[in-house]
Amino acid sequence: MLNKLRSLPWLLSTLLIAAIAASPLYFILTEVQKPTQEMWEFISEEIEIPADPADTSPPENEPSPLQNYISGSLIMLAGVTTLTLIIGISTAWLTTTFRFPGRTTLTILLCLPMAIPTYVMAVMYNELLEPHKFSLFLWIRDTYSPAAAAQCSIYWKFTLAILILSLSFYPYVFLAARMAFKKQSQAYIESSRILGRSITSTFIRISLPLARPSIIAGLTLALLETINEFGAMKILGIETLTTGIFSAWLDFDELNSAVRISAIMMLIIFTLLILERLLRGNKKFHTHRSAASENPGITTSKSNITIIYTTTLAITTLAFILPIYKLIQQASLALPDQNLQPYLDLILSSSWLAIRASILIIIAATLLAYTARITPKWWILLTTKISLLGYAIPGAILGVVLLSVKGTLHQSADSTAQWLFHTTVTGLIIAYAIRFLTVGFNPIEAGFKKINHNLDEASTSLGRNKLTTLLKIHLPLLRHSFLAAAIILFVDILKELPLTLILGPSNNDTLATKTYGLFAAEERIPEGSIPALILVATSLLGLLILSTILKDKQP
Amino acid sequence: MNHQQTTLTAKNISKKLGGKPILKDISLNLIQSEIIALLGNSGCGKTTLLRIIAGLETPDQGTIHLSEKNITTLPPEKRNIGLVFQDFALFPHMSVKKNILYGLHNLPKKQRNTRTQEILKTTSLTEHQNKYPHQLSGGQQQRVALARALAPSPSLVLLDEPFSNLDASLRENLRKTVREILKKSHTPAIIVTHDQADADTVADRIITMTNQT
Repeated sequence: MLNKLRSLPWLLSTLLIAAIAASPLYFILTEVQKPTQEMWEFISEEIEIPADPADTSPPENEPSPLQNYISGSLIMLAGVTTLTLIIGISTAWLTTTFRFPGRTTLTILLCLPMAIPTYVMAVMYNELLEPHKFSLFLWIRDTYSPAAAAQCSIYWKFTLAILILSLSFYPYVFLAARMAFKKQSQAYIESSRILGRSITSTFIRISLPLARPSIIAGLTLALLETINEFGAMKILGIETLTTGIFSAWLDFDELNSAVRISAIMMLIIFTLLILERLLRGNKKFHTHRSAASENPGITTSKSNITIIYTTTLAITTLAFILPIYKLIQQASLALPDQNLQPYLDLILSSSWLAIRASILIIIAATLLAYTARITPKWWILLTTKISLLGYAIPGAILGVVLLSVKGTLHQSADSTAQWLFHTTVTGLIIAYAIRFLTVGFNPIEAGFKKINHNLDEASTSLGRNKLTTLLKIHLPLLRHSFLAAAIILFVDILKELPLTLILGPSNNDTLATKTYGLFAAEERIPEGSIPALILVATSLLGLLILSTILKDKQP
Repeated sequence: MNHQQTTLTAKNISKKLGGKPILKDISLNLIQSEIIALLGNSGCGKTTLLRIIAGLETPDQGTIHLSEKNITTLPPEKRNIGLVFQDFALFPHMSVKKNILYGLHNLPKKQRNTRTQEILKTTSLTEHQNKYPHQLSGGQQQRVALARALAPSPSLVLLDEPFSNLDASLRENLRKTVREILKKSHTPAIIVTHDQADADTVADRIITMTNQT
């Protein structure tokens, strides 16, 4: 009992963070129960086509905008699942099973697409393919029919979108699969080979099933990003639930309708998360002793190595080299005439915003992780998990919800409330914190886990309380974790688009919103390529620093 | 602190871990500056009893008194009981000196350094005081762990399998060293071990524990 009381401040902080993180969900639930607004009918109901008297077949209704949004999101999810699994697993397998010169470089190259924001990649591909697209469609129209050309244009749209998102997000699956394959014990694979199975067969029957939990986790990250995607979808002309939310809010100015669409989206996301839990299963795969030694890989024939290089370089070209080339080319068109000063200001203001949010997140994540460490009761662990839910709430939804919360608070004329949101920037930082808390939490929790509990107990036996222990023992030992968290957070927040578009102050752009604005709204591709290039360069720098830190930490 | 009066009395301690009874109605008495050993095989509950005395676990039943004061529910940081861990648990980011200084926050500033140098001398670590744990040998690390526990002049020192992480060849010397250091500082101690030789060399009195279940 006395123990619990002493931990009270820690417990309260966790509960507070969880309450803030879960509040958007609560808001969605209450808002959905209010009466619908004007445009909801338009959004949700099928468009009836009056029956043609000459037509004997029953009248078919056009799908409602809502149905289009849902099918758009589902198609994207299905497509990205397939393609990221194929690309991610195959490249992970090739780079872990076999040993060949240049493997480390290839591995790094395969991770680089993470540095390019999806909306940038979408625009670059549009630029690359635009001339060819038209000639292709014209040919189809002439050879077949206008209807066929129209149909093809839809297939093209979706194929390109699925391709672009898969090329952007396969690194999540790649890294997860790689980690799983590397941790697998050589003993299992060798047993399989000795029992007569080929390399491929061993892969399918042994390595892959053992890696399943990890791969599913990576895939879920990719899918959460997919459903959250706004910029690329808008640029490629695809309607999804996210674009629907934007449309309801920005075009129709109807908060309630936007929230309704958000509710449907959250249902899909919860289904996704439940599926993930089920597929990951409760199996605790026992790690054989020999897993401690890293598998150096099988040496293989020159022709196989050629295949490996061809495959991975092809992917890298599509996912990284081609978009970067186009980006640099476009930027160079605009650079000579540009005054760079506004861009420097933009870099500073965007960075400062990202830094502030990152610091807030790291503090919150440390509180959460430490409280769970000192009071590992089931309800604390549950509360911690709830705090991390924010990652599953798409940026668009968060933005819409927080805007309306702000509106309600303003109306209540409460002075504290007004102070809280006195600048939209504060609201934006809180929104970033809710959304990206998980991203900061994971490396910090991993760092905590590496610190033996003995050290906590030693500190206690020497008369120090929990706060002192955290400050004097844990924090210094968590330096690497904080740095890793800070870098990932900084890069992610810098690139963030949907949340910032909705919640950001209208007169203050970030690098991301400026890029998107120039690309999409103003269609000034060369000018937009400059901030885009800055974004990519920053992300690349962050990725490289991160990989250096992680390499140093290897035992 | 007059250690001649220090007594530890543990009465009727019972503890279940994970549903299984580990300790059933155990009582223990420690008088003046004696060193006792809890000798037993793994699973007999000796480490659990030690952790209960240290305050890292609470007993399901029973009481603990330290010099007449009931400390059964007192949190570990208030008990002034030193603890030496099996794997030493030295703070890796602090030098030997800083590790020892860490527990001296209750002393007035001027006395902290004096006390640190004093304990460094008792444990023959003066020339290593600026080194970091990873730069020390196993035997040296163990002495640091002991020094750190003894520096705040605790009423009692608990040692959990202090020699099991060390080479067999070191153990004989270290047993004698540890006993010497404990006796020099007049601090009563309880050492938990499964090794008969440890108990024989270090302790004044041996209590054998057998598996409770």
